[in-house]
Amino acid sequence: MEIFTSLVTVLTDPVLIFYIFLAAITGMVIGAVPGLTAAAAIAMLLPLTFYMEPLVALAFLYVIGKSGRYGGSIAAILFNTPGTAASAATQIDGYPLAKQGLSSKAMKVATISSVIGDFTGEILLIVGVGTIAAIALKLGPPELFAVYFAAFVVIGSVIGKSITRGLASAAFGVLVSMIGLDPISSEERFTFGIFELSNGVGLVPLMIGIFVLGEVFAQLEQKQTKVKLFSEPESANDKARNQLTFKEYKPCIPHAIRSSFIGSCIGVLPGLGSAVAAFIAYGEGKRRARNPEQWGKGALEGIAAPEAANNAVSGPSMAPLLTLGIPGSTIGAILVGVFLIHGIQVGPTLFLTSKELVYNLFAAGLVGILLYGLIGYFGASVVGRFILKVPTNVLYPIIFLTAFIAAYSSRGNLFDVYVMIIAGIVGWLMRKFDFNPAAFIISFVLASGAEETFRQAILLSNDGVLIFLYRPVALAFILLGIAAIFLRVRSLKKQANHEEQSFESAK
Amino acid sequence: MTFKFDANRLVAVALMVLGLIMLLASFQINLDPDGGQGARIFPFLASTALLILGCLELKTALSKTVEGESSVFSSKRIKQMLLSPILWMSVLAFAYLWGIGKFGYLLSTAFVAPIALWTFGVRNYIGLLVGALLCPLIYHVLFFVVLGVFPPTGEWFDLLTVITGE
Repeated sequence: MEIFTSLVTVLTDPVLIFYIFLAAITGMVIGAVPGLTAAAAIAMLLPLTFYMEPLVALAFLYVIGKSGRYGGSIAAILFNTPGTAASAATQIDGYPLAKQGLSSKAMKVATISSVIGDFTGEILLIVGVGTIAAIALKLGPPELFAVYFAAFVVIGSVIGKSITRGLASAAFGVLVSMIGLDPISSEERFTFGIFELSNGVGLVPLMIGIFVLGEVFAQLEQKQTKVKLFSEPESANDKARNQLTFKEYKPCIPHAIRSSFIGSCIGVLPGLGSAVAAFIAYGEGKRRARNPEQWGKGALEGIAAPEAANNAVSGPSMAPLLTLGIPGSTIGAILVGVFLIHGIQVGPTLFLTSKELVYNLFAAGLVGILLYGLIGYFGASVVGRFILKVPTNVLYPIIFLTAFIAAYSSRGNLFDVYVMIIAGIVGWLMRKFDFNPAAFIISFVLASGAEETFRQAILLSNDGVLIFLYRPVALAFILLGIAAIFLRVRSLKKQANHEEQSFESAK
Repeated sequence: MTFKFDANRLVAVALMVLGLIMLLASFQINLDPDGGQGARIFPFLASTALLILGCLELKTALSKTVEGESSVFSSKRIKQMLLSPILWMSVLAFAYLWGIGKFGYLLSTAFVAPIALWTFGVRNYIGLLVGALLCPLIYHVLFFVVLGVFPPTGEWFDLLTVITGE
């Protein structure tokens, strides 16, 4: 019932509606720029939100995350360049359709499916989050630490080409978060005699460095390729061909619904994210399709499945963040920062202290989905045209300069700008050598909670670390983490064997 | 047998060195007054994990053969690295920050904006001039006027103090 009250609150607040509208456009544009991600946009815009009301700030960034995921499909279909990793699956069928002169029809399918996926994910979040929060409240420090442990391991090992480098990224994130004064004993840790490090490393400059400056470096290294926009239908015949009828979309509906649930399930698991959901949904959709031979050649269902899954991740990825304080994605990690800046502690007690704010945020999410759906359905090609008019050789220097002032504005401190530059170089190196920047940032955010619960658990225990083995829920999560590594090693070995066999047979 | 460095081996060694430095630094953290590990335990565990992961990475890297040409210390690679636009951009970033500290935000941004645009391939002199004028102006108005962030002042000279007469 709270959601209906919250919807009224959101819909009757013109300032909030304005920011949600602005976020829907901003996210869509940034998501559609190849190379730029919603996470980078949120990191860069974060300092602007310090001066907003908590709900406005959170809603603004939350909706940018949602529409940014959708924006990736604009680039995938209209430019044949995925704007985000998740939209690469959309490109498989989106590009052939665009080549056939059906780019508008493809965009309409992508928009409707994204909206279905995002609505499904958001509604599942609204329905389920209260239950998860109630369970989370019953967990003690040993269980919570075990959940953190599983999150570290899953985030570090599941994504990326190398398990060791993924886990090393997570361990490095933990170490960087330890810099500063110990919150309990006020002992200095890893400050190396540098006074400014006593305050610790700020989340905002770190994220701007990793996601914004790191991306500027990566773009500088890449050779810029000129993207071409598929022409809009001009003749009456072309316009008629690009109309989407219900009859045409009807076969896409089962794919959109199934993929929405796939995306929602994947979204709850920390670290997996939209790209994994989109590709799993695409594979599953093709397997079940009545026309699998058409997939990859311009099947509308081939756009509906990954787009629904990709966007369905958004809502459920907030569940571990809001109930346990565990961000499931980089956007989630940034939102933790926003909550903390506004003095709101995320975790099991959030639903006791700020329930109204949380439901208002969900309502803002629902309004945001509707707005980006409408803007995308009627104006995706306008967004595409706008992006082509912005030359990347001007855009990236502007982003470079913005990164500096955004990092400075977070605390009005030039030392944070040093942190941002170093993080930018580290972020670029991490991408270059197959480390996992997302695991690094999420672990940085998780580390303080994990340390606190670990130390509380040890204080509770008469048998030291054995407490994690005596408590069944804690043991289950620790085994889950170990199983995640084991399964990932097995899957990588299988993949390597398969590639070796393919290579041998090709010889 | 000669030990050849390739990128994977270098990454592994870098991880091990970082893990070792952090491990040694974790021993510098004082124990709790009652002798408990307290503040030290988590940094110790994370740095040990990093060191072990570095060792595992090295083991994997050593099991792969290294082609002579792929050495990261070949003169060709070093030349490539020195001419890399990333190195240039990193130097520019640190110089910009130093400039902000010494000459304030406006002057440093006016100087760095055209260099950044040039680095990304803008060769239109009017465009570069417009960048030099508009970038400091727009950022100043947006962040220091509209948002009310206190601007960083230059230690040696600050154009803003000249303009405002403060």
